[in-house]
Amino acid sequence: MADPHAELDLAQRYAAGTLSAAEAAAFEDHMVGCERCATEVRLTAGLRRVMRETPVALPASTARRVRWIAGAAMLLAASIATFMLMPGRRDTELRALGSFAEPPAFVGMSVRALPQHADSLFADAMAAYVARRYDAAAGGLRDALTAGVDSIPATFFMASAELMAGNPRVAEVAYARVIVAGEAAAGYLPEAHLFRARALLQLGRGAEALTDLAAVDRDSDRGAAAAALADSVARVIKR
Amino acid sequence: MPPTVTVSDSTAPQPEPTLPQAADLERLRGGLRIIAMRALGDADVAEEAVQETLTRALVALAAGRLDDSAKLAAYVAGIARHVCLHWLRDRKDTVPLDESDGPTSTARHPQLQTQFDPLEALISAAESERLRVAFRSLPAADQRLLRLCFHEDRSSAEVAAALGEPSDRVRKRKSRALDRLRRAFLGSESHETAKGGTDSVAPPMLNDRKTGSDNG
Repeated sequence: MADPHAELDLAQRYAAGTLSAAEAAAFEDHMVGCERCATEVRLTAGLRRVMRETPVALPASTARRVRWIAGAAMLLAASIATFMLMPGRRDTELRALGSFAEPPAFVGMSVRALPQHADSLFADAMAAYVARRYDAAAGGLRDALTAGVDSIPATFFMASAELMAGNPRVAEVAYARVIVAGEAAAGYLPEAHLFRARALLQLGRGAEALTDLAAVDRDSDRGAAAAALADSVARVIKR
Repeated sequence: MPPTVTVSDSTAPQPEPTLPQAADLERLRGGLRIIAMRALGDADVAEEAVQETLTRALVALAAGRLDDSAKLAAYVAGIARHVCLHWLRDRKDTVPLDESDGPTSTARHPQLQTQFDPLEALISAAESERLRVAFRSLPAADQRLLRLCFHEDRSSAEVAAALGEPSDRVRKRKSRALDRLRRAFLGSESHETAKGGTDSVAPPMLNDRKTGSDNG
């Protein structure tokens, strides 16, 4: 680790979770005794947090152009809205109801007594999920499923990763697979119904979303959220 | 004046190689905390794992199990990974997947619940705020560059292609921007002269972390 640039690059990739397990272990062997690299890991983690919480800034010239275009677009939209009926607005409202900030929580699990290849794939994919690298998580969970990992949790979190990655169409189908498993997926059913409903709302399919929301067990910890969302969706559809 | 001749006396007692002491181990605590936090995702559990690691390392050193003191960091890092792995494997009670006698909602197992990057818990509120201010003070073009690198995890070549700039220039801009952020992150000290470093990590900001997934 003589090249300081290589060290810093490794530290950044370590914090981002993009090193392989072997690379990460080798880096850790060095980092534990290297204050500079340990600081770089923390700096990267802090930076990722700040970026997540800071709106994207536009260059001044672009910002001026965007403001001008936005102003013109608002005028145009107002004019068009005057002459059009509201179904487009309804879809927009449904999509807004389908948006959310936090995905289902992953709490860690140890499925078998001895680690299998599929479990390792699952663990890696869930590390990506926790780190909010949803594309990587979805791909990793697909690999884990192919390798034979327990299909219900893997399918559930694959659906969640796809939803967070902006693929509601793929997500709702995957959630449906969990729901079809019935009792075998009992622990996942309330969230599977709730988040499938959100995926459907993002697709503008309000009536189907209502069916899923109605299926959420009202006594579950998702019951109240589902009831409130169903109420809002019903009001939008009735308009 | 006769030349000075130094003769090595092989029979003279040689100084004993200094064995790592508890203080040497303590210096590794910051790095160990990173390993444990990344693996376990929970600040309290990670702290326990770090303590367990240091205890095991101390016992191993006392028993003379480390031949080369230059390998102390790697040796202790290996112990830390071992401790974390065992801790994860021992959490069988968190996964009643094969049981059908009740709901197994993920929300019922808060022990390992992590919604954010676990390493963020190692950043103090002051460090985070300094970083936020410094990041916002960067030119928009540099902010975009760093976003591509750190938020979208693009490779250097991809970033250069996205910005339409030569790789060398992108690398220099990134380096300059990171220098500014690094100085801000560490306070007024430069990176090279920073004291305390990982050992001065503030207590985890647990209150800043959202550990649930209440989407309302």
